[in-house]
Amino acid sequence: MVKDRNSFIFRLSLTLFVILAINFFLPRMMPGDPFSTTSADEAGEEIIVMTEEQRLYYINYYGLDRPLHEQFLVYIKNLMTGDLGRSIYYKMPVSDVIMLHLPWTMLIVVGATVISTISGVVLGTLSAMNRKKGSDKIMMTGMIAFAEIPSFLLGLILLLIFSVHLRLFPLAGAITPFANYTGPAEQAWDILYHAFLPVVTLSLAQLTDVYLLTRNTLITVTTKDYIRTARAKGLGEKTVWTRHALRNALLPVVTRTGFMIGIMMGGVVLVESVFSYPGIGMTLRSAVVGRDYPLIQGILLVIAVSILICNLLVDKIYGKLDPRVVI
Amino acid sequence: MEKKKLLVLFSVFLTALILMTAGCIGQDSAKAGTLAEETLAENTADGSLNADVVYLIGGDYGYPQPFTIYPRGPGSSKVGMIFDSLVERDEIGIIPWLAESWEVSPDGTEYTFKLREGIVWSDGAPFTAGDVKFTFDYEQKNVPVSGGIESGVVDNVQVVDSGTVKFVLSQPVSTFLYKLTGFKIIPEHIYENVPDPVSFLDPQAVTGTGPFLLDEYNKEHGTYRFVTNDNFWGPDTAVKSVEFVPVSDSLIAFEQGEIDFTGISPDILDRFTSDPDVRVVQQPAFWGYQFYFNMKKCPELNDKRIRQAFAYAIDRDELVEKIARGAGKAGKMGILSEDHIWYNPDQPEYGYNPDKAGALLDEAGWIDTDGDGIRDKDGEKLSYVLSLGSGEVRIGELIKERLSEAGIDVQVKALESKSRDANLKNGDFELLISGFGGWGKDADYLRTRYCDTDSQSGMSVSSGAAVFGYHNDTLDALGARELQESDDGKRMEIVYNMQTVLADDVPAIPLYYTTNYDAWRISKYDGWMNMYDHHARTHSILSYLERDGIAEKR
Repeated sequence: MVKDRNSFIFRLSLTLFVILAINFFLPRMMPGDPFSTTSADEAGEEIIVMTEEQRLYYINYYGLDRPLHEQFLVYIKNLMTGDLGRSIYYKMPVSDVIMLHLPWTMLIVVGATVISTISGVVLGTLSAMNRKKGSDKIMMTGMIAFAEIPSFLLGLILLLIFSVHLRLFPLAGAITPFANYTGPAEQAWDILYHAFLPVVTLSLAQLTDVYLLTRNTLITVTTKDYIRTARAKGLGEKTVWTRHALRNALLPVVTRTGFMIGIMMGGVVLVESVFSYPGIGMTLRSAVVGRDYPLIQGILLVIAVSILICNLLVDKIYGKLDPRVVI
Repeated sequence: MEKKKLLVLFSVFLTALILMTAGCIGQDSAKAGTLAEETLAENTADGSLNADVVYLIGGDYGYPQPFTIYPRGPGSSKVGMIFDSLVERDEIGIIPWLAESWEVSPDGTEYTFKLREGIVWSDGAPFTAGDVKFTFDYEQKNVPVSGGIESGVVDNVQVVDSGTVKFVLSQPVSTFLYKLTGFKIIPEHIYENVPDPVSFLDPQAVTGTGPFLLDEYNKEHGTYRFVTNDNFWGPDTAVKSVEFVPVSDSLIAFEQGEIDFTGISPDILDRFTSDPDVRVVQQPAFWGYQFYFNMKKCPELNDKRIRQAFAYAIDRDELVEKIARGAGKAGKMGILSEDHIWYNPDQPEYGYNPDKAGALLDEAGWIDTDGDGIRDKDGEKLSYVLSLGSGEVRIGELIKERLSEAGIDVQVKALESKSRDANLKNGDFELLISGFGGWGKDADYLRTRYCDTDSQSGMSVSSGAAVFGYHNDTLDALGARELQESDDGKRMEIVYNMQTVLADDVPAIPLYYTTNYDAWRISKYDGWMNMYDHHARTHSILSYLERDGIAEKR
C-alpha cells in the first residue's frame, strides 16, 4: 500500500514536471517576443510600436535576456514558493490576473457541466426508454443536427434572439457596469442574469454528447442478463431503469463529465468572446497573442492542474459507483 | 433507413446554410459598388455641446498611468485624460498646454518653456518646473510604455525657476516639440518614492494635472469611469464624466443606446445616414497597409524598375473598393496620405496600368521565355512569397491576381500576427504586408522608415530601411537636413522633396489608408474633434473640453 502510494506520488510529480517544462519552453519557441509588435491585427487598431531601445530595456527588465535554462530554474524556484511571476502584458502578478478571471470561467464551465450532464442524462434515458418509437427518432435526429452547430454560432444566435430582439438578457459582460448593489442577493441575481446565455450556449454545445452516450450505453445495458434478472425478480420498471440500468450506464457518463472541463476550455474561448465575458479563455488568448510568457505558463498550469484534479475525482466517483474499481 | 434519413436532413441543413451565406455575400458586394460612388450626405442639425455622461466602448487597456498601460489598444489616450503634456495638439497643429509659451535658441538646441501659473496636481500639491525635470530624469531609468523621449535627443533638463524649465538637446531635432506632445508630466512628490512604476497600481499613481480623475477602473470587466477634476487649470469639461463600458458588438450597443459613439462599417451606412440624430463622418486616412520589398533577400528588387512595375500592376483602387468597401484612399508612392498636413500633391503617380508594368519589366530584362506565364531572367523566375497576417489574406489574393497578370508569380503565406512581425523585424521575408496606424504623425517618419543612416536619434523603427535593404543617398541627405531644420516652412519643402524622391523610387508601397466611418448621437454629445495627426476622435482630450479660452487659443 505504501509503495503504491509512493509510486502514485512519483507519477504525479513526473507528470507535473513534464507539464511545467512544456508550459515553459513551448511559448518561448513561438516566433516573436512580447515587445516586438509592429502590426495591428485589424484595420484601425491602435498599437504602440516600441523603439529598439525600449524593447531591449523591457527584455532586460523581465530577465528575458538571461539563458533559457537559467530562466527555467528561476521559474521553478519561484513556483516552489507559490510565485507564478508577473504578467508582462497586464503588469500585475500572474496569480492576481488568474484570480480575477478564473472564477468567471469556473462559473460558466461548472454551470454548463451540471446543466448539460443532468439534462443529457434525463433526455438520454427518455430516449432509451422510448426506443424504436417515433419520439426517440425525432429527438435523436434533432440532437445530432443540433450538435453540428458550432458553439460561437449558437451563441450569436442566442444573443441576437434574446438580447437584441427580445432584450431579455444583457448584450455583454459579467455584471452591470458600475453597479451599486443593495445586497448580496441583488449581486448574485445580476451575476446569474449575465451568466445565463453563456451557460446555456456552452450547455447546448455539450448536451448532444452526453445525450448520445447515455442513450447508447443504456440501450447496451438493457440487453444485459442482470436487467433480465431484475425484471424476472418482479421489480418495477422504474426501479429497473433507475437502480439497475442507469447506475451502470452512468459510469462512462461520469468519465466523460470529468474530461468535459478540458474539452470545454476550447469552446469557452469562443463563447467568452461572443458575450465579451471576462473569463480565463479570453485572457489566455490575449496572452498567447501578446507572447506574455509568464501568464501563458500560469494559465496553462492552472488548467492542467484542474484537469488532473478532475481525473482524480472521476476515479473516486468511479469507486463509489462501481465497487470493483479500487484506486 | 435511419442513416439515410439523417443524411437527407443534414444535407438540407447544409444547403440552407450555404444558401444563407451565399445570399449575404452577394448582397454585400452588390452594395459596396454603389457605395463607393455615393457621397455622404452631411447631417446639418445642431447637436448638444455638453453632456453629463458620455458612454464609450470599453475594454481593459491597463491602469491609466504612463508605465502600466498595455501596448495594444487606446491606453495612451486614457493616460491623456489624467496627465498633461507641455504642449498639446488640436485640429491644426501644436498648441500651448502646461507651457504657456516657449523660446528656442537660434541654433535649435535649447528650448525654454514658461509654465502656466497656478496649476495644481489633483491632490492639491502645486505643479512646478521641478516636476518636468523629474519626469525626464525618472523616465531615463524607467521607460514608459508610450510617450517617452528616446535617449540621445535631450542632453539635460534644467529648472530655471519654479515656473521655467529648459531642455538642452544634444543636437537640433526638428520634431522635438512634436515629441513633447506625448510626454506626460508625472508628479515628483509621488513618483520620487516609487522604485518600480510598472507595479505601481495605487490610486496615487493616477494623480495628474489633467481635466479628469479616474473614479473607477475595473480590470476584469474592462470598465473605466473618468469624472471632472475640479482642480483642473484649463477650460471647463464639456463632458462631466466619461464611462467606458464593455460591449460585445459595438453596433448593437450603439443602436440600443448603451454607447454614444461607434465606428460603423460602410455596408450598413444607410441605416444611419437617414437618422437625424446620428452624425456620420469619415476618419482622416491615417491608418494604412504597407507592402514591403526585401531587397536584401531578393537582390533583383534593387532595380527600381521592378518596384515601379509592382506599383503599376497592383490595383490599389480595387483594394479600396473591394476590401475597404470604399472606406479608404489608395496609397500614394510618396508614402504620406492625402490627408497628411504635409502631403505633396505634385509627385509621380502610379495609376493601375498593367501595360506600363509589363514595359518596365521588359526593359529590366525580365521576359517570359518558356511561356508559363511567369517572367524569368537568367534561368530565375520572378516569383515571390508574400507573407501577411491572417486578416490580410483577401488583400493578398487580389494582389496575387493582379501581379500574375503582369507575369509576377506570388504565393500568399498567411501567418499569425506576431510571427509575421518577427519575420519583418528579422528581415526573414521576400514580400510582406503589415497594417498599422500613425500615418498622420510628423512627416519625420519618412526619415526613420526609409533612411538607413545610423542617426543618433529616432532609431525607432525596427522595420525600417536597414532591415529591408533600401538605400538612397539623396533621401539620406534630405532626411539629415529635415531632422535639423527648425523652420517649419523650409522643413515642409524638404519633406515635399522627400516624397518626390520616394515616389520615384518606390522603396515600399502603401496599399491603402482606411477612412472608417464614425457615428455618434448628436443629441447626447456633439463636441467630437480630430487632432490634425490622428484618426480617432475619442482619443483627443480636446473632444471632452469646452472649446473656448485656452483650448481655442493657438
